[in-house]
Amino acid sequence: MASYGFLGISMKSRGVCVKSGAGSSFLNVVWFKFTKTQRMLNKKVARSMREIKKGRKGKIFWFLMFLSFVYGFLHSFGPGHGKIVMISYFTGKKAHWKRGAMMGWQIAFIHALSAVIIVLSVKSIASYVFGASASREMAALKLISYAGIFIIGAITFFEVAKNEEKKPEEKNFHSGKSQFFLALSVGVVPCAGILLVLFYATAQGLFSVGLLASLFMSLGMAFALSVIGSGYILAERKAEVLIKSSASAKIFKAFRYSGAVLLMLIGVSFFVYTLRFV
Amino acid sequence: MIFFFFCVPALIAHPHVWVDVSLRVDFDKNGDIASIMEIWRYDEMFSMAVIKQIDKNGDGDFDAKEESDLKNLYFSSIERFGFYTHIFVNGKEAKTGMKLKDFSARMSDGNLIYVFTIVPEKPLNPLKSEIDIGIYDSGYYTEFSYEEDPVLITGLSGDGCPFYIFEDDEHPIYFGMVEPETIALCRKKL
Repeated sequence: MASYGFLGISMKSRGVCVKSGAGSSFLNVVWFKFTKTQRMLNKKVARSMREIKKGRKGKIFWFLMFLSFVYGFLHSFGPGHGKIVMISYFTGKKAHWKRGAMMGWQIAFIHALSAVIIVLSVKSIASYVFGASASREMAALKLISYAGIFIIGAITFFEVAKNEEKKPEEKNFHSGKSQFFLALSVGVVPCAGILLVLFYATAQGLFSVGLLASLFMSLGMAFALSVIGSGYILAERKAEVLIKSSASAKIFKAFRYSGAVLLMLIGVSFFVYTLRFV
Repeated sequence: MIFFFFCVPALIAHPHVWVDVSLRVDFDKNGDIASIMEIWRYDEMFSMAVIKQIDKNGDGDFDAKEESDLKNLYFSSIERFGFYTHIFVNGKEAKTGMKLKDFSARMSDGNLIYVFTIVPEKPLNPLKSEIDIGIYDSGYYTEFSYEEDPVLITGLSGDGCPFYIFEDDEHPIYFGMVEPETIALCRKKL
């Protein structure tokens, strides 16, 4: 693949949602490098595992763990709805930045754990990673995930509404429970990257090496997601200071509701989209 | 709301499977494309997942039965996408269908290899009109790259059919985010 556009709204190209920017813009180049790097990492991970299989030890093992971490980290910056879900959830809630970081860790580890459980319980993961149409099990997991996102969105909406009636000092828009269940809903769909890496290792009798590589991949993902989550919360706080205080209360109220609505929309539209594969 | 429905595929898919591809274009005596033979080399990780599922007798390769299992389970599902082979005539995607002539699969050095031949159902003549061929997955789930020197031509004498690869910004894929690499056939780069 050659040159890459980046997120920008347009009616061009079958009237859809994203459009390429100018042919060789900075973002195009970044995007191009991003996908090529992922491919290169994937190749290097496979190659180092074969070296370990042949009996090489020491440095190569740590090199593999380093590659896995970077692979996981980059993996999290690719297009995906997880980040949008996380940001929608925190929008307007004035949560502590640690909450954002924590949710990043929650999503990453559930996402990884789900992959590990699948590798342990099926004979081959090929159908799980080969497009959306090849596996009913994968489609089922996705339906559960999207239904979960919708439900948490609805619950959040009511939580927000209930809290708006309270006095300012009693307002608490954040609930650890709904955060966890949202992370669970997002993460339950297994990470395709870990599925492939762990299966590849297991097939060569290197299960424990694969498991450690998966751990480092999930650390990379957790790191990236928590930076995104807490970064968003901090940025929003900065923005709050910049907006005049009287307007800010209204704006943030609107943010809270739209965040919850966004979660419901994501849940519904992804659910409907996935139904065709069942 | 509509925005969301359109964006869903773009937010779900990103490549987890990689393929290196090369092709042989065979011409008949009229200068029409008689057939296109494609060789796809899958990345090691996906290849491992496939062989563990398909290779029932565990000999590390596919016998006739396993090859047909593989074809039914994975290869056939891409038939409806025209085998990811996009043909353009004078810049427009050709509606000509492709018929599968043969298919075989084997393992080579840890990579799953597909070799298959497709035959265009309507005549395509790159000497009379501009023909481009692009091998890619518009859903961008599988990422295709061309091998070095990816096209072999047979059936035409001399240097009758040079080719070059270009970034097709007229037909972006993956919701306009990616300009796929496409092969301009029997033409020299201007």
